[in-house]
Amino acid sequence: MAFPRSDLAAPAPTTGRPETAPTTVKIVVAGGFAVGKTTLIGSISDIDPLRTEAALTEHSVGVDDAGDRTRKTETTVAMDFGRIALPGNLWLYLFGTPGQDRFLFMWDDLVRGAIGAVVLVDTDRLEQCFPAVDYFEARGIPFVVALNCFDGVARHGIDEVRAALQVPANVPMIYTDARARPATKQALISVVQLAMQRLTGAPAGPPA
Amino acid sequence: MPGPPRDPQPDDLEGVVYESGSIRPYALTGGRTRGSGDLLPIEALVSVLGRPAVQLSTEKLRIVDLAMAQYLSIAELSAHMHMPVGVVRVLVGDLVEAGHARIHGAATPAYNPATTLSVLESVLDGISAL
Repeated sequence: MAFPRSDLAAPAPTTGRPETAPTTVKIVVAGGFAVGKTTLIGSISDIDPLRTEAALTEHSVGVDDAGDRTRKTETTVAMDFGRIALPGNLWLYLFGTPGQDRFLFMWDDLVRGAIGAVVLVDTDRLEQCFPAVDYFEARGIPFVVALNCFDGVARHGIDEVRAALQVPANVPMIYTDARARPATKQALISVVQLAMQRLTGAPAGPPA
Repeated sequence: MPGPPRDPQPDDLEGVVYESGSIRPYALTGGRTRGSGDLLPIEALVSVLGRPAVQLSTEKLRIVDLAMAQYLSIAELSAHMHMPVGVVRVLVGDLVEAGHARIHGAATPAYNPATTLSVLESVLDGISAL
C-alpha cells in the first residue's frame, strides 16, 4: 500500500485527528423538564456538555395562552449532548431530548440510529416521563427507566413505580444518581445490554 | 382563504445584504431546509482535508476551519457555530457535494453500528472499563 507524500522529512502531524474516523454511536437521554438529563450527560462525558439548537416552525393547533386557535410560531429547541471516546476508535454520543412534550416529533431525528435510551425519572413527578416511555415503547426502541435518586434517597420502590408507569417486566428499571459517574455508567451499560439482548434474541428480562 | 405562505426561494435572497449577526439562519442556506445533507445523522462526523481554493461563504469557511484539524459531528458543529442543526446539515451537505468535506462514522442505509453486535460489544466493554 502506497502512502502519498510520506518521506523522512515530513513534519509530525499537527493534528490529533486519527487516520481512520471513529465510529459513532449514540444513546438518548430522555425524561421530563429539569429531571437531570444534562447532569447525567455531564457526569460521564469527556467534553463539557454542549448545547445545540434546532429551529422549528411549529403549526400548533389548539388554544394557547393567548387564546388563538391556530398559529405558526418560530421556536428554538435546545438539546444538550456529550461525547465519550471508547477504545476501538468509538465515540459514544449522549443526547438529551428537548424537555417538553410538544417536541416529541423532533425525537425521530434524534433517535434514528441510536443504540437505545435512558428515561430519567423523578419519582415525585412521575407523569413527566409518560411521553418518553410511550414514545420508545411504541417504536420498539430499547430503553431503561432510571429513577433519579435526588440526595441519594430512593423515595419510591421500583415495583411501585413500575406499576404506576405500567411498563412491562422486560423493561429494565434501575435506581440511578444523575450526578454520579458510576451510576450513569451502570445506566448506560443497561441500555447497551438490552440492545444486545434484542439483537441476539436473548430474553430481555432478568432471569425468573 | 389565502394559501400558505410560499417557501422562500434562493432568488429571494439575491442582492439582499444582511448585517452580520442579524441574519435569520435559513437565509444562509438560501431558504432551504432540505438539501443533500438533510438526512445526515446528528452524530455523523465531518472532516475537511484543507481550505478549498474556491470562494466559500463565511459559514462554510467556519465549518472548514472547525473540521480541518479534528473530526466533528454535525451536532458539535451546530453547537460551536451557534446555528441550528438543520442549517448545519444543509451547509455540510453542500460542502460534501462540492468535494470539500467528507462524512464518516455514523449509520448509513447499509450499515448501522448501533445494530451491529461487535460494535455493541466494544461499547459495552468500553463503558464498563471507564
